[in-house]
Amino acid sequence: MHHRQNLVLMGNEAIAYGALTAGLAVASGYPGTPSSEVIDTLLELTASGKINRPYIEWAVNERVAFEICLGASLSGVRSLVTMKGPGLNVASDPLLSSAYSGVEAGMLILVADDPGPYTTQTEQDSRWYGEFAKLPIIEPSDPKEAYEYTILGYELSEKIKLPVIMRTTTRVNHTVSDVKVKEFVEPSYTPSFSKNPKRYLRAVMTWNRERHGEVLEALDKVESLAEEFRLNRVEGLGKLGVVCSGAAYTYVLEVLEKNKLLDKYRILKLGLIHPIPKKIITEFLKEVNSVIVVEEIDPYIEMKLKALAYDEGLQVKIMGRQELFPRVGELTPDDIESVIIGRQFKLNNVALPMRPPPLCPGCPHIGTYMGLKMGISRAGHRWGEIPIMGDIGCYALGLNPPFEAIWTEHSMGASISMAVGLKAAGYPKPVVAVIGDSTFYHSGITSLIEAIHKDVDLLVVIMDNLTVAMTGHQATPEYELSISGRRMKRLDLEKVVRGLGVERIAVVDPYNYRDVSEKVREFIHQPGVKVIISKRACAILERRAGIGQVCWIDPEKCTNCLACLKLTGCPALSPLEGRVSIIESECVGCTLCMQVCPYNAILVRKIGVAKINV
Amino acid sequence: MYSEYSIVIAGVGGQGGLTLSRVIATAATLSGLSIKTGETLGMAQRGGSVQSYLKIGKIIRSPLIKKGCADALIGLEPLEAVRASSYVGPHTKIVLDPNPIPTIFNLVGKEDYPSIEELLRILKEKTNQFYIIQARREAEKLNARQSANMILLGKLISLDAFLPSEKIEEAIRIVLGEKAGKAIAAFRIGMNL
Repeated sequence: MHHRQNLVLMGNEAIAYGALTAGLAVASGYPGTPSSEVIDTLLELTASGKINRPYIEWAVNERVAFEICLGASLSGVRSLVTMKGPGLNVASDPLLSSAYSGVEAGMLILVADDPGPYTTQTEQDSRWYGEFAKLPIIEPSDPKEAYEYTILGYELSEKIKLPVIMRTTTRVNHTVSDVKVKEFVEPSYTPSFSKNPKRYLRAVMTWNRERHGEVLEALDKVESLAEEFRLNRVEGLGKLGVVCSGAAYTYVLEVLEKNKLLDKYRILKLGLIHPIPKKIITEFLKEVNSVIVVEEIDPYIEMKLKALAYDEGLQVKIMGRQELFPRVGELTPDDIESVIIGRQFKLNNVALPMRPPPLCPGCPHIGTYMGLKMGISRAGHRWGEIPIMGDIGCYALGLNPPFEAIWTEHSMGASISMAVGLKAAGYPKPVVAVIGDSTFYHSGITSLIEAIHKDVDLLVVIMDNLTVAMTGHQATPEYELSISGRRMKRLDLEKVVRGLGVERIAVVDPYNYRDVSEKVREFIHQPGVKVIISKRACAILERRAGIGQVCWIDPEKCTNCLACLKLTGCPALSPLEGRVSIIESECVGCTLCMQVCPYNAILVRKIGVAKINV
Repeated sequence: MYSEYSIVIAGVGGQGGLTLSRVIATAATLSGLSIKTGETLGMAQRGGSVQSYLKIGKIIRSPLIKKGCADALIGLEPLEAVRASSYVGPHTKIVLDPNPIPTIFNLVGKEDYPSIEELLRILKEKTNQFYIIQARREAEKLNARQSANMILLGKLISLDAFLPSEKIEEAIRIVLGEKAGKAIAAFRIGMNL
């Protein structure tokens, strides 16, 4: 009865479609590359009216998202929580207790790792969480499998009454492929919640010990269920073994096919990562003369295989990332080919200039950093003398020229708490913490409470661009309307900060960078916690909403001194043809360059009005 | 017909490389072929190096392309094309817009943009099938700056008809919706360059 349709889907879209095919009722998450498009897709489908019923919203952070989904699954509806690898660290507290409570309806935890890394602070391998949290982990190898595994994940979760982790990597999340999808299923069950203290209460230790045993028993059933769901499979009859999972499986298959070596090899493709399926692996190890393990990021399967071979008394040689492949970075088909047939690939030996992403034209963070720089100088300090503790978000790009501003970027909210640490250590100079609005709500708020309570001398600049910009403009607690159409209650950042007890507080517009600088100068030597909220919507959102003016350079007055470029670093300014000019199609008319031009050579004009020198 | 065709698209975030990749992917599906695309992104919305990989064929395994093995490199920017040139072999066709986009280091005067001649020389050394197309300038003539990539795609299709042009036009309509008109015009201009 299901109508099948062939769509071109990104892995993350395929996961969203899979969840809807499985009758998803509640989805939550916190944006993080490469995971964000799952909830984005679900929201778009809700907005377009293609689905109704499900609750789909971004949460303030991953642990809250996790607990929302856990609560939903306890009430008997299927839930999906999404995050990037470090997000699972934030959610690890509820994650580690979740096996003990278990679920009533299926709960799928999507964690997207980033081998490379391309967009993440560490090359974290989240598969270790399987053993740690005592939850099954499944790993699809491409968008088509991501779709299928999402559906199977719910079935597995419900058979053993535990949440299931689906681990992906960028090459699955961001790969676009043709995927056959079935119709969406509207969630039909009515939520119900009954008291079950032994399951849902962790305050009684004998229950906790008992639940530990029950969880282990539930996990013991996973291997045979995985066989039923065909999550693991052996391909080929050769004597040379390859064990692989995830996107790496597709590289292995491609390299063996192209080199016409399939008949010499036997591939064990694992879709179940935890608990490691012992039976199929042991049988496989007995059939082959040697084993290469191909996996992203850590030698996880490799170590499991070695332990299993030891237990079974098997002498087969097992090698993987510890012996054959690069120990860091993303695997490629070239890496596999060089191990399997010894083909060496040539890397670019030309040293090329790097192209880190700059702050966008008209980015409000440009104005904030300009103001910070000027304010620190006007307070009698050199730029580069006062530590600026950074945080996670677009403003971390302030590490690049022309600002080279931040000294640290660690984990969500750490700017403020690490600054508290510097002061606790007795660091004698003023310290500044910069943090974005969403990162502040995510984790910075607890750090700020600590700083206020301990009355630390600290200047905090909250760079409020009214969105989660870096990951594609997701909702913050300051949104009133969700893409889903849901009305939300807007939080007022200034009131929140004031309510926590901050007395010295200023709200400034970063496009008036001198206002930022004046407040920095005024606040930096004052005692206690001071907060500057530098507030202006992300320039990309402003552009979408429509801009009214652009800047232009009067060639009669411009001396090509390049002060505009050197002070703002704005990518709408182009020095390429010998003279600086403004790329009109890039300019959003923020006027920051105009404010620093020593010759008044930069002018502003309304869009649609000719350049007139006034 | 080609049994498999692989393309690397190299550019700067915000240049529309991902949209171009989506158009080709959609056209492949419309032609009854399998596709896989991958991308290497920077950590921001725009302005960093971006590479996209596309493979089209009857059965496609991985989204990644082996070094020296791309059938085509679509260069939206010369420095980024050179950054992706490890995928170029003697048989690879390159279509390139040679107009540079400065890096942040260039903008603030910390570093010079490399010599364009030198960048072009590196690419020419790798393959004889190297086509320099003033795509952005041509698109500006059309008053369709956003469609420069479609000019490059048109040129590539005129060199290697790995997909039928009518399927590409249909894909442009699907992916770009109401903005498709100018993009199709640009694609046709590229076909005849």
